[in-house]
Amino acid sequence: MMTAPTDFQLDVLKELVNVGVGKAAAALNEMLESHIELEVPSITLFQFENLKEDPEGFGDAVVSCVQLRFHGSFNGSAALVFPPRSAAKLVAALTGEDPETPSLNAVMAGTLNEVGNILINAVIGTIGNMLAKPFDFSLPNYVEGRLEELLNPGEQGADLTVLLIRTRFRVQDRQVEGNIFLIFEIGFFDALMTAIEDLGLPCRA
Amino acid sequence: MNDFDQAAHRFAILDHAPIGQFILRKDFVTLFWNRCLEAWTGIPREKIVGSCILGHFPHLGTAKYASRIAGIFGGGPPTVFSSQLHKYVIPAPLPGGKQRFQYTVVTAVPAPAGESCYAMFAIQDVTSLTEAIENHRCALQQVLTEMEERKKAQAELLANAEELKKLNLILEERSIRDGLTGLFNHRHFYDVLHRDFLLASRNGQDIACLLLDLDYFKQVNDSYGHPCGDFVLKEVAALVRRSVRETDVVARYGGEEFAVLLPDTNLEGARVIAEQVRSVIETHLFCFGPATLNISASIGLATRLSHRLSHPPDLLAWADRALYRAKGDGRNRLVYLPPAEAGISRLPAAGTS
Repeated sequence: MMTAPTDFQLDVLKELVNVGVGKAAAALNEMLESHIELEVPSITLFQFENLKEDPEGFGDAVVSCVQLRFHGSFNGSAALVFPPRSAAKLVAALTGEDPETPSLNAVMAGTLNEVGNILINAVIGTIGNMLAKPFDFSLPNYVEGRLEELLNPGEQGADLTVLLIRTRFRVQDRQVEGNIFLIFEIGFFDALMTAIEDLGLPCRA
Repeated sequence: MNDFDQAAHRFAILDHAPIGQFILRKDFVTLFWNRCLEAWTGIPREKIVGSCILGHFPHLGTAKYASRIAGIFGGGPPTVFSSQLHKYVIPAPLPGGKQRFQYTVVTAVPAPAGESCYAMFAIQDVTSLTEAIENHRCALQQVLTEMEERKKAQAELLANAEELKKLNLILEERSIRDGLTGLFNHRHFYDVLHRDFLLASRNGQDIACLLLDLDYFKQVNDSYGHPCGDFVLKEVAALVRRSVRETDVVARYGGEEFAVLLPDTNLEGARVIAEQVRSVIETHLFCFGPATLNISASIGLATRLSHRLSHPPDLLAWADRALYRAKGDGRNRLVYLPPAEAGISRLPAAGTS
């Protein structure tokens, strides 16, 4: 079990996430012709075993997911998850395709992979940079399936800490929700909290 | 060893990969350029290694590439340039002149000295995949278009069928009506008589039939012309229709002959109605232009039960005999022939008006 983070730690974490998402928005805007806005309506923390209680209620629906594993100072994985409708809407907005076209699926994988990659990179990249903790990263991977299967770390069991970052994309007049799951292996969320605490120490001293 | 020799040695294995690969230093100087890229771009390694890549491919200096590549030099996570959002990172024309679609992943690889990393580009040619998707999309579009057309054709067919149905109804209606008076025609009357007679037989009910012939009608035509005759026929049709009940069937039976079928009506009831019809015609003033005409009608009456009949045509035959008698007895009257007189009655000859 993780130790409950202090308000200070949570505030810093939220700040890091917001900075990261802001960077992602900047990167996306440099790249795309249409203006894109990114917001973080909420950030929640829970144990992996409570994933089912996630109010998003993905249930058994098939979701689109861009995944990336990281290790080094912190071990775990990051995933950007879209319900299929949202994924299609976002890709349609970014590529100018018709959201009702079935062939959208084909262009979805590549586009989502890149967008997810930018967003995840910005968030964990920012955490690593600001805390001066280097990571190694696996290559990003686009998968579709049930949320529980996609995120399941296997042997690690349920004793993982999940940081759920809800994000809202606004492209033109469309609004699309996506969720970033940062899943920390045992002990590594605490390590992150310690790093944040260390960051705070000099200021408070 | 300088960076270039080191890189040539360290990354030599990338020459064997069937994907385009090159290595950039933090200052965007190219350290390595694999054989695959030589083949794709036509730029030999000697021309590009050691020089800034922006001299060859300036677009990589634009924000949308540069800022993300910069993250890699800092040791950031791998970055993806998809073919959907970028088409290609390093332009590499195919024999036909089209550019290869590329899926590119840039990863950080540790530099031998110093803090910053090298950026390793791995470029997959996804042209065939993209084309497959494009073909698939075209095929799909074609199918969708065809489906749309088929749907339209079907809708048209349906509309036509609907129109046809309406026309059929009109035709059917016309085929059972007399064009001049709007009453049922002879044929339809016969059908209804047949049906209602059998129905009455089964239910043990009576059914009556009137045959009505206008007296001296030929003179109307001769004196006032056919338009006047037609006018009289129409007026009589309306008069008869108004004098009987909703359930009674009125038909124009022949030239100036009308037939009325009175279901579930016995002899007494039929007499009352028939007499009413006769007197209504007699008292009506037919005004055609300046002319005012008086018309009368002879009516023959028969009923199923009073004649103990079991065949529909017999009812008509009895009514016809009665009509013949009415003509013979001086016209403008209603005649019922009791069955006792069957023996002495003969079938009426035609054309006795």
